[in-house]
Amino acid sequence: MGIRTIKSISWESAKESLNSKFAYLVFFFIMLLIYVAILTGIMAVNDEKKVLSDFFIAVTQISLLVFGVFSSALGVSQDIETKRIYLILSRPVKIYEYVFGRIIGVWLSAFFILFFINLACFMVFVFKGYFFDLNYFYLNANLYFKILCISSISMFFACITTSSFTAIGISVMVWFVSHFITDIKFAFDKMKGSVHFMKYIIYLFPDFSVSPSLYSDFKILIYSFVVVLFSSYFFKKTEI
Amino acid sequence: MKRLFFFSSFLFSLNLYSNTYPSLLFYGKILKEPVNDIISVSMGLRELYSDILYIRLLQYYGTREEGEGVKFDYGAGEYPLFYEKAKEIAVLNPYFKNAVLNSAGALAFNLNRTHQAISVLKLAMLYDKNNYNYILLLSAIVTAQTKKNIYDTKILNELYEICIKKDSPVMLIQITAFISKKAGKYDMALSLYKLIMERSKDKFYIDNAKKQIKLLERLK
Repeated sequence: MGIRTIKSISWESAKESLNSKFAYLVFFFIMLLIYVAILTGIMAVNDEKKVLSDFFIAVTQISLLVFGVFSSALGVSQDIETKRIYLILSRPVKIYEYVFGRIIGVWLSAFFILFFINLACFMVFVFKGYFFDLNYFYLNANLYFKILCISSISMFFACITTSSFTAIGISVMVWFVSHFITDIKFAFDKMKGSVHFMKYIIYLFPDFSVSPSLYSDFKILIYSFVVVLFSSYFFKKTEI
Repeated sequence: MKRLFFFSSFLFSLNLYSNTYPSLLFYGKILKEPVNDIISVSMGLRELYSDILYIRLLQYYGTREEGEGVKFDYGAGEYPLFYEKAKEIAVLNPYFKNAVLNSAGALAFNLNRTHQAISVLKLAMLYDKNNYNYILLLSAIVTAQTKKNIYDTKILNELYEICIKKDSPVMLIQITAFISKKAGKYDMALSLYKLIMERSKDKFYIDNAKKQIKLLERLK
């Protein structure tokens, strides 16, 4: 595996994603929501810290979801549309190196955004007289793993369909279903007949509905890795 | 095709998980705004939405109630929707400690709706089993009931089961032993005081347990 090739592709991809207008838009949207969070936190009286941290986590999650899904889906399709992919693949770069480089670039830029959001949140916490606790850190880690997974899924569908909009649409649907796995499983368990066997399909989705733990994060990480592996396999088969 | 089969089976094996949050479909009848709940949960905003519902509950409980020609003083009032709102929060996020404790406390001690308070607490305890704050509040509610000579044997038995667990606090065992004695369940009380003798290092608890054991052995 050409680690150096993957490194240079991912670094370029991360720089490209962070310099895009979309990243600035996401960042300003987050700043606006942080201001809203401060106002909402005041209303919770004694539970201001909890409401603030939950709001920050939610804002970070939605922003990174939008950023991760769009960046990974648009990255591949733009490379195809602008014919840049031929320039990259005409060099001694293998397809799996390109796919891994692209997705690691998105993961890196998502990490940078996460870092800057947390910096802003930290300042709000300090201003309010609160401090980060370990639970907030765990929630952030879990959130980041979920973003890794959903951006990998977006990349997977972008590689199969070569259409960014289809990839974004399906990824957002997967995000909704994955958060609702517990309830869908419950509903399928109550059904009888052949529909009951439909429940085995939901095991193909990543599970975001369980409470965060080291085990669930590890599962999500492995899942993401497998999805990227299959993205490169299907991208190889796709006629560009 | 082989690879696709391998991929599917791999993802399948990764996802054999267990549930930790309550199922919204199971508690569907309790939910007042099921569409909002479903949207928030499927977007991954369960915690935030439960916070918003808690803020709404606080606003509801903090607003002076007005009836037909009646204006209640601050702190008084019926608040008929309080139980439903509290239960919805417990369904969405049973790990939201302060929301569960405050709403159950208000129901039990301010609004005098003890059974509803116990119902909210027990719903949260189904998922957050080891939260001793919930168990302590439950025992406090049962103690308050005992003073009115009302005994709930079922809850008493549940408290006993919690007490005999390895890491249960001595204060909880003490409260349960006291209620058991008041309820006339001397065997249960005796075994709990013996448990205090084994576990506690506090002289006050040990002396009291010795005294109670003597008394209970006479009563039996």
